[in-house]
Amino acid sequence: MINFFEVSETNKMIEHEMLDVRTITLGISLLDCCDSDLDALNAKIYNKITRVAKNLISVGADIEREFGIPIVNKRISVTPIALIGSSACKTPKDFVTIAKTLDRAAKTVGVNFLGGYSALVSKGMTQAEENLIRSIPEALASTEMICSSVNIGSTKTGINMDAVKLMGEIVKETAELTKDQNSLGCAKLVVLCNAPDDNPFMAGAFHGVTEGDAVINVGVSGPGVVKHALESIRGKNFEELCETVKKTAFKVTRVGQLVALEASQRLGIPFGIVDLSLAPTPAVGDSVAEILEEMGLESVGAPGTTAALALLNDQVKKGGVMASSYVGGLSGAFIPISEDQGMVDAVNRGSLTIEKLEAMTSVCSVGLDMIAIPGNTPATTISGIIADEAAIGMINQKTTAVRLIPVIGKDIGDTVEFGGLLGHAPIQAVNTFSCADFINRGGRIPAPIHSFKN
Amino acid sequence: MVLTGLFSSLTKKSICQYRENGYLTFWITHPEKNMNKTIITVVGKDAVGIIAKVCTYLSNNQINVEDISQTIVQGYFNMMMIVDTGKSTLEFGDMARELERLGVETGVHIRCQREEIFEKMHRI
Repeated sequence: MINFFEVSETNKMIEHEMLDVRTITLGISLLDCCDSDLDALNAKIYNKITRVAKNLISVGADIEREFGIPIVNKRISVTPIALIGSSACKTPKDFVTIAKTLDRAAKTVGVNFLGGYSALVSKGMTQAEENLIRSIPEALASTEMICSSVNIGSTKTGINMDAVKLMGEIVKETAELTKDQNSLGCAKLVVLCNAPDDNPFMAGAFHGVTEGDAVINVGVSGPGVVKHALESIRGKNFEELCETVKKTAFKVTRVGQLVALEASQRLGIPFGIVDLSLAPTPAVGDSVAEILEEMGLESVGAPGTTAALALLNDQVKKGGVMASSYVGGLSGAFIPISEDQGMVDAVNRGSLTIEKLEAMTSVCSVGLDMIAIPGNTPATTISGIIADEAAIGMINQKTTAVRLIPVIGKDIGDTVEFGGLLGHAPIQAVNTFSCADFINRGGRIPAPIHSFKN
Repeated sequence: MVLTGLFSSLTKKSICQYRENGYLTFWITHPEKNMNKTIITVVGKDAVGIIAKVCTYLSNNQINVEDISQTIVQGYFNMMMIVDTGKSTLEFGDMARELERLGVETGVHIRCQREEIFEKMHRI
């Protein structure tokens, strides 16, 4: 039988160490909504989302109340819209109408983000996919809840450098169109390599075509819990450090698994995966950077940071895998800047640069995330950064992502406020040497030799 | 601590107690298992009759107390109850709200959670 100390431990994690379930994401396939008539397509999309997700918010609230665990976000991901709109949308403007429909559906059901305004162009782009990508700036500027992602490479296909070049321009254009809100549109746009089909986290969530009609994916969190656990073993060796992270990750993930199964059962929608993630928030004590510093780094970015992050990421997976029946998504530690107060502090101290972050992304679950850069950064430089990250993902057979925010009108030394869970960030320096001739070559980078396993 | 009224509201089979770190802990255990278990935790400044008030509410609503443990640390009252809501007609949400209100009136924080969250986290 459960005892007093176990109850106290769990409740302390929830009340003082910010243990929460970061998101319940309901994946919905829109493949059966395809229609060559744009109005009919929009109507079908709206109806399907509002029908399938109508109880998502209330079920989430019930689970929160009954288990006493906060569920921070309830979200929806849909089939990449470039596929769904391909026969109805002849221009980028046509795609924008779908974005607005998705936004309306998201507001009706009450979720705070809807992902899947996406195109998967890791090898080539159809006309529809190019139209969707070109519609992204206007779609993000004219909606509130929509998140967009573009997969521009994979270990199996190599990197689509035409798409990389285009995405540099799209990121800049999105920043321009949303400059009144500190270029906030870019916080809802992520460029991925090896994008997973079942990622519950925004902005990269979409419902892959390999998925069923609807699925429940859950993303857990808990950097504060790991940090607190490590406080009790200061000065101990790596064996103890790793064991502690692993055990803590197990406990955190068990809560995610419980919530996922409950949500799945109550909504009558199959359970997909639990994403084993340490997802920070701007709140004090909910930081991945603080975990790394607790391990013994003076400030994140110091030598040893990549090793510390690699260890953390691996132990989180080892602990989490046993705690959940299905694991997927991004799974690992997230290292965004604006969403993690410890990272912001490290940047302000001068210990953390984009180059060090790039190294860190080769051992953790995502990539260059929520990094504010000068608004005058050339599009080709953004493409160059995207290409670098994609190369890390392609060669290491892992997901990488880039979510840069070139804040129009701001430069190094300024700070930008995005609000809420998106936090605030100092503008970080970008290498000013040009890569324009490299990016302008066009074409594809071939798949690496180790991808040929057949 | 005043335990007046506590045992009269319980219908359980065995009562045991132990000392750990100088704190006396009471356990009222029940051998049967079922799926309607809720953990009620009460935390706050110690006052006369906290357990009695909670138990009265539970007994009025046909909620069985299966297990109680409590400590007082530096004047702070800390209690955990495992209760069975199987015979109660009360909705979980209503019970949680009413107990929370009772807590506010008594000056303590009362929280209801289904047992599974603890079971899943601490048991393989």
